[in-house]
Amino acid sequence: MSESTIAPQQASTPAQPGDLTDSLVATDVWTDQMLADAGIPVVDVPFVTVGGGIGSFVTVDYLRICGVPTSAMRVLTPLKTPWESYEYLTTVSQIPRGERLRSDSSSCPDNIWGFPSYAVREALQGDLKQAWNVLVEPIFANYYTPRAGHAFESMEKEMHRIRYPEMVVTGQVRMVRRRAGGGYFTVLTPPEGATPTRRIAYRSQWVHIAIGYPGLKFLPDLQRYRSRYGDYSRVVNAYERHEHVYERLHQRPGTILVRGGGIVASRVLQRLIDDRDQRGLQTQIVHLFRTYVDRPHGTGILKRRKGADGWAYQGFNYPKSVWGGQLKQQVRDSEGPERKRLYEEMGGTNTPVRKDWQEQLRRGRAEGWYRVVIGQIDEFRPAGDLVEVTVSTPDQGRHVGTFDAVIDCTGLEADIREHRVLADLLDHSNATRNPVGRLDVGRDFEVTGTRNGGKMYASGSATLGGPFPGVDTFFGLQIAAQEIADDLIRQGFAQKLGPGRSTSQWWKWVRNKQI
Amino acid sequence: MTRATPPLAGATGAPATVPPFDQVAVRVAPGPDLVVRLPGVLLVVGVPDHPAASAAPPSRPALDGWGPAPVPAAPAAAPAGDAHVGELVALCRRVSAAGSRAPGTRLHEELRDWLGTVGDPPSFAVAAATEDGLALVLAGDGTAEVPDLGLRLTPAQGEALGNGTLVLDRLVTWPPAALHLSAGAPAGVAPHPLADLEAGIVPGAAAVLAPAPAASAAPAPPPSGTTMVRLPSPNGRAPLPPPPPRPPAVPTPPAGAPEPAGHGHEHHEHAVPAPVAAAPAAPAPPVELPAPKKSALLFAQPAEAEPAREPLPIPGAEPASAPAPEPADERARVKGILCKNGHLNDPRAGFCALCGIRTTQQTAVLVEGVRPPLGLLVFDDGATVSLDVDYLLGREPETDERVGSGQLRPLLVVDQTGGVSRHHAEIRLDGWDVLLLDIGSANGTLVAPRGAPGWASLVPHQPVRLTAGMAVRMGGRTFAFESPHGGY
Repeated sequence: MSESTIAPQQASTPAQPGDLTDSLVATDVWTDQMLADAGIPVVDVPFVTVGGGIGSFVTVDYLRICGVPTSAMRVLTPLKTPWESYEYLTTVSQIPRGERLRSDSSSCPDNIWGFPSYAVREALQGDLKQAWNVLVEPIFANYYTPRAGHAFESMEKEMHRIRYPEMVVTGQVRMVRRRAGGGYFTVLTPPEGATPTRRIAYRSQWVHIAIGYPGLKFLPDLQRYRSRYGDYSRVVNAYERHEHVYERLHQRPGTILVRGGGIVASRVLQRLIDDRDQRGLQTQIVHLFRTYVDRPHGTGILKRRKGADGWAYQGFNYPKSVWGGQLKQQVRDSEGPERKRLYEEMGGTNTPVRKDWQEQLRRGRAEGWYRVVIGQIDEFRPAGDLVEVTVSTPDQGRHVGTFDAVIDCTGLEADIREHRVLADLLDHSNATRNPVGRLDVGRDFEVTGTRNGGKMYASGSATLGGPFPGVDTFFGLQIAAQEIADDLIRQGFAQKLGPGRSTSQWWKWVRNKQI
Repeated sequence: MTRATPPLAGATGAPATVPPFDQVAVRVAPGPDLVVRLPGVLLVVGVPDHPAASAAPPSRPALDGWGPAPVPAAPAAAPAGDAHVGELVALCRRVSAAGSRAPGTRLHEELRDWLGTVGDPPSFAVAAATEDGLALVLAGDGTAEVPDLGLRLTPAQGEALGNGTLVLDRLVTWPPAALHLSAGAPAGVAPHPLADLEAGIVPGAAAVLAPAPAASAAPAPPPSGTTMVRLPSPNGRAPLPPPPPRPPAVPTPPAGAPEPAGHGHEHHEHAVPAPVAAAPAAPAPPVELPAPKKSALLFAQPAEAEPAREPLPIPGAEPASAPAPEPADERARVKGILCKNGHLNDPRAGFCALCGIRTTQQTAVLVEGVRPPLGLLVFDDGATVSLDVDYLLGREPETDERVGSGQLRPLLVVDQTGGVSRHHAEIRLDGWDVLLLDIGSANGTLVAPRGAPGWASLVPHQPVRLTAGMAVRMGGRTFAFESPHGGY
């Protein structure tokens, strides 16, 4: 909508030296001469990772432990720290550093051995309750997950240990193209004024794409409401800052509509009810489910997922057998529609059950301030100081209600084409889509169809739907890093991580010795 | 806070995004059936013959001045309305209005659902635009032909539904010659070559859809100027009147410009008559067809059609679709970065405030645009004030001359303790920052960033940048600043 409110871009910007030319943009495979003609300086480095988030971090961590020097790798990123994006998203979705993460933590991004684990480390620091918890979970206790802050702090320690900052080059990656004669060019746009030319090309034999989520996608009705009424404050997405909603409830009682039945919804409800309990607020909560789960469900007796009160419960966002069980093997051997079916089977919104918010919701149902509606939102409209929401229910027709605020906890991920680098790979480098529609990778996380002398790897959420499920978790990123490192070891880039090296490196990790 | 952003008129939208489907000519051959053209959809539906005699002529009330009543003549076989035809037209209209510029795929699905529920569907043929071709659905006696190329599709090539109706639904390439759609009625007369149905519902036996305009030469069959008239996009709406000037805002400000009730439901009703009035005089630029695929796997399964992609932006070049700035727009402009979907954002933000896409994937090119609201003040009584202009806060803000001249908007802060001065503080929007400035109040202004242990006093006339979550206290009143933008 707001395209028209934008003035034309400053066309007067003089063509800076070392910029992309039309012929470069249109050519799939570049020669060294083409870049020289365009005046783009070329930097040689054997391994480049694009993204600079946690995916890049664990991959570089693995390779550093396998003996690759910092001079042989570059991390091209706009982020200041590897966890910057992750921390932003967890913080706004109500998991600040002191809260426990809600997703899988069977691996530690700061420790490739996974030992000692977060729980053991917490126990060593005196919190023995967590050690007991991991011993008896999930039968007598809910799954253990680490505090967000713990994960970030230990990653920071590891970041300095492996001299990660030496490898970081700040800037936006514009595209990755194949090089005639083997290898790849990765075009980076450094911050304005940082370099004499507008672009820099990295010529490398291996490229690792770890740009993570292309972004969120707010639902069209939310976008429509915002652009139409210019109101950003009363209809909010849980993945953006929305403290003002809670702030306003402190000032006067209100009714909130929470939409969605996933992890974030459970976290937002917990925040609303925590505030209610601690400050004696009179917040009324209406919770909108699109699909209401009232009993355990699944496709087979061994694939049941618990469910009640609208929620589908699961310890983590994937069934446990994805990590090392039958399901892992099954998906690994599947192709095409079969794999798509498996993904659909294990997919679906779910949330880990936790005693604290279960108790809160029970109390809310008993006392009448937490109510559930099943249906879909047709329309938002401002009505005075409130939002009027029209909900069509499957069995009771249309309902209209007014709310002080709507918190949308549905997390849609944008298509991979929404990201410029991935779109460019699809269009110019032969990359293809997997059965689920994301970037297709092989078992060693090589991007299918892009081999050119060297190899291009990808990990993280953009590759969901590949032979290994759960790529968008800490553990998935680490599995990918391991496969990629193994493949690079076979190609002679890194040294084999045998028992000797592994043990000595682990002791270095324990003593926090810089490598 | 609910100051309505003047929306775009659909008719002046970006020209490059209008699909060719709405730009090519549709000629209608005379006949008894109905031809329906909606944005992205062309439908020919057979009108079942009902014995007209069965309907009794309506009794005529006595009308003054019309002379004596003539002998009522038996009306010529007037086609009676048919419920199914009505449903079908309404369905097409709904899909067309639902917003997709290429409604073909969706129409396929909706029609399938609908055909399953109808016992005796009428014969029809419908062509709808998809991203890279046409979606055809034929039922009953409906046919789709390309006589110049000898192509012909009938429902017999499709499948039979549970109720015995033959249905063909198929995604096809747009043929490079005229496409004839009919619902089975014999076409008596060929349509006039200059005939063109832009939008609407007219009687006819067949509709002839001209081939997609070639990028280079003008298409031969539709020489009329009307072919270049663009229909409004399905989301197009008539521009709203500018919002009325806000009354002096008190901590419970009134709502912004009220929208006409049910506007969203009505707009597809407007969609049909609108195009003629709203048609811009400027000729549309030639439409680009999607580029051919570069490569394909030989032995892989056929991949799903990729949606057409916008050309990669050329840095420094002027975007082709940027319309001229609206001269009457007096809202503050600010330099920011565009997200991938063209929304203006704070250069420091990692995610777009409107659509949620990552902004860090784009090269940060600063672009000037209208500033969105920068946040809001939440007062201790729950009132909220959206920050889209500069404010003067105080007990009698309207007595300030800058308020009188319209430079500042007054914000009345009522305080029983009397601790708020007549002109107490100013809120200034500077770029993407919100500044708070104590303008020499008697009792001062206190601020506390989120998590701070205590209040800090402002130095008069020394602006302070408000950060998200910062609390501000003046006299006995407090308010907090919250912002969805940047600053993390």
